[in-house]
Amino acid sequence: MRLLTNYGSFLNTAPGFWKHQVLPASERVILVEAMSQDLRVTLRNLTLANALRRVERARIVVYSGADEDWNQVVWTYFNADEIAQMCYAYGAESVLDAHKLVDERVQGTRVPHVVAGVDLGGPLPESAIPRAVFDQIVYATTCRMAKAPRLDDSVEMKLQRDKVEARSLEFARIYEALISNNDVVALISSHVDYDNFGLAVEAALRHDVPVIFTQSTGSLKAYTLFPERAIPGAPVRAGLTEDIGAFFESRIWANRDLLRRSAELTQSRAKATLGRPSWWRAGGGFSSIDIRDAAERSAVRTYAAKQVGLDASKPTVSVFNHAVSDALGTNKEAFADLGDWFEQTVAWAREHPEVNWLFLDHPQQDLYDATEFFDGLAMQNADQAHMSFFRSLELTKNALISLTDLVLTVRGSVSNEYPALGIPAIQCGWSEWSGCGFTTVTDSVDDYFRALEDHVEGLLERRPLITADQIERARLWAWFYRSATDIPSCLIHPWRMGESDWLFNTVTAHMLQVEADGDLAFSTVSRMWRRRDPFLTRFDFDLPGDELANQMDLTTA
Amino acid sequence: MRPNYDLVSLRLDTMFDDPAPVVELPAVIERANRDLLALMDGAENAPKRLLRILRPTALIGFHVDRPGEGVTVRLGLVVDERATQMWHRHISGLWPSLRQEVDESKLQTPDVSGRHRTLTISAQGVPMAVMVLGVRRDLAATQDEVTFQVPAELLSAGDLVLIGIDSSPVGGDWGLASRMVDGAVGVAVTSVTVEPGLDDSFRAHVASGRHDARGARAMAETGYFVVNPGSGDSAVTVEVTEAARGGRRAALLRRLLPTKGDIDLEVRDLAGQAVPGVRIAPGRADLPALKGPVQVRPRRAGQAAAGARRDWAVRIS
Repeated sequence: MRLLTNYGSFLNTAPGFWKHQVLPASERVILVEAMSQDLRVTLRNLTLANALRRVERARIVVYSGADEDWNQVVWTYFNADEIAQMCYAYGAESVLDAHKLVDERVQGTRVPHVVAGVDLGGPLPESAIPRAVFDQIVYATTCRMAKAPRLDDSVEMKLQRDKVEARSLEFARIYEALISNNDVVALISSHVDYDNFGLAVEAALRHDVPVIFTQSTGSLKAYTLFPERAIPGAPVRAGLTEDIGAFFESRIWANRDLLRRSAELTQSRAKATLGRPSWWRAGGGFSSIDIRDAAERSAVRTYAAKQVGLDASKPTVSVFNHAVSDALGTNKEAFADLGDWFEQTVAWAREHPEVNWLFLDHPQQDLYDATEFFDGLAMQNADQAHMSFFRSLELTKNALISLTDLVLTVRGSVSNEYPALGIPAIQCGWSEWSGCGFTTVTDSVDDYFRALEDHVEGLLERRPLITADQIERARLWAWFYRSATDIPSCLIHPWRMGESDWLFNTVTAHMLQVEADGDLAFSTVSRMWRRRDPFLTRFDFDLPGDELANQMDLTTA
Repeated sequence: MRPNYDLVSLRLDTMFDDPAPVVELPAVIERANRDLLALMDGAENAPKRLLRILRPTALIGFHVDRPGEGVTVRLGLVVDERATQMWHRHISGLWPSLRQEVDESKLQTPDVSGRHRTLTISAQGVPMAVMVLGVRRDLAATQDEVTFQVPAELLSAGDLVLIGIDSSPVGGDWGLASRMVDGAVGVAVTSVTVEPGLDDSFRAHVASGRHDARGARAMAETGYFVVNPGSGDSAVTVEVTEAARGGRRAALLRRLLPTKGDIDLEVRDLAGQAVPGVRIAPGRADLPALKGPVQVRPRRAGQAAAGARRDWAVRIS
């Protein structure tokens, strides 16, 4: 809930604070996205931009705004003025309402609109974006706006697609113009998907501009997509997946003896719903894990199986549906889309009654699907005694853990949570952690069903499908994600503080009363930038083991 | 029955897990010593009670030091104003029309006075007792308790006693009209009393949320009540009489409505099936030794249950 009544004092304090925290501006530009209604997102983007301005002399140019579709489908209280106020308070040279400009351009209105030396209101050349990439972004955006897993041939969908395509053409033009006519240091964006975010990211990478991709969770978390590490022809996040996998292998897994205690502590806290273990699933009363061992799991399983109408004596495969229109095609996936994976898995499950199948809908599906995709499949399979369909939040985490013997997902965080408890997972798409070696990752539809068949046989034969090393890797990833790459900063504060007076009063107090030297937001951005690391890290993982232990102030007792 | 599937690769523990607490019997688990609970699911710690139920089904688990003797458990529950608030919030999340309303004060919440919550209490997955808790018309708090035995053979898999509190309707269609969906939500558990062995002194009982000198009170709107088994294997006699409601309106109704006539009783098990060996007389049912809870529906002869305007006083002997 938003509890923001005292925004003014924060706005009054920030300019004085930042004035001497950054290097003098130059002609170079840092492009910053401010298209989220949540001020915590913009706070992260701007703080990161200013941290980068301590290393690189540059000015800030912000692109912001929302159109009617976003206001109808995604946002509920988007306020362009208060976002712009924060941008100027953080030293932005200009704040472009990109959505408004795009609307004007689509309508044929030509009003001079100079931003960073470029007249974005006048004629602009076509973007050089490859057509296939453009089409994919248009398709994914249309699905999101239509809240549909895929587009059909209906007139409504075609109209929606035409509308998105027309706007996307203009987004692509203005981003291309901004980037190609300026010396851009970096682009900072909270999202890399959809036309308004994704076309800026695509243009940046094509013009060799690194993209810093902030995360709306934890304290300050950010990945960086460096253009030289992008995989040609692959989706935008694919290079990041490989980078993360390599870093994990050489710095985290290699230091596992040093990090084991920390990883165990993170896992213990995750069981108690501390450290934001699940992006979507809040609520301690139904999201914490009390089960300690196999005997307790079995006792709870009796109840859970009864609740979902499945046989507790058979192994259970849990299939976690995604938010079906969420960020389609931004990483490698085996199936045509998220819905296709789910439908084909349901069809396969019908033919495999030797195990139970528990299909779980995404906790926030209402925001992503208007087609009753999940309910339709549930209806079609209501006669199958070995298949059950439930909304994820109808079941507690204890119930889910007690029932689930194998997890299926494309890219969901369940493929980290469950392997950390010794429950194997098959992914059929890449995610941040899919290169870290604790899930079975399949790259094609055939691969996926072969792996699934093998895993089902393994369950029935009581063959271990995940090793002790893989369980440890999953726990190390959880630590890495929640601790090592989550930067505590007096200028950000945890996401959980909300979009509130509490947050902004605290940031204001720090700006007024605390000297900022050594704030981790500054030192970690500097290190990431200098080393071209794929993410911010709380610690310097290039240090030898004993020095790393010293830096981490490890407790060994 | 086949044993539950057991995943061989499971690793649920961490090096920071505290050992599971073990309850030394006899014991009363309440707010002050709630750390004795090893598992609480679908519920949360409550400031003045042991816990509050958040979900349609809640689980409470505790380890006992002497599982080999079986245990006798007494569970105390309260339905109060807070329970109603929590239930309303839960229901507003289920109903899309209510979910759209952001301002909680504007929610048009259903009136729950005269309705009831049906809670099935189970141990290790086996139904042990049913509480049919009527919400008083003045919404004042009601409380009740049930006692049941968990024999050693049900604890054979270990020392964890796992109690389920479930909102699902019991078999048959009695009381459906006034039953609160997901009725466990909001209910507070005040205490769990656990004694070693199988106590042979507690009697069959009715948990309706209200008791007076004439026995348990079952509300007219509920239309039925449930008799929970006592210890031992003795037969049970159920006697039902009309119980006057208080207040001037009730006094008026008493004058207007017929007061003469026999009270017919029907008896079913939880699956909605007839119970063998039951003998029924006007206002009285002689039940054989109960293997599990049974439902009883009283009706004045010739009158539909739904038309009843009097509560029922239930005496068990």
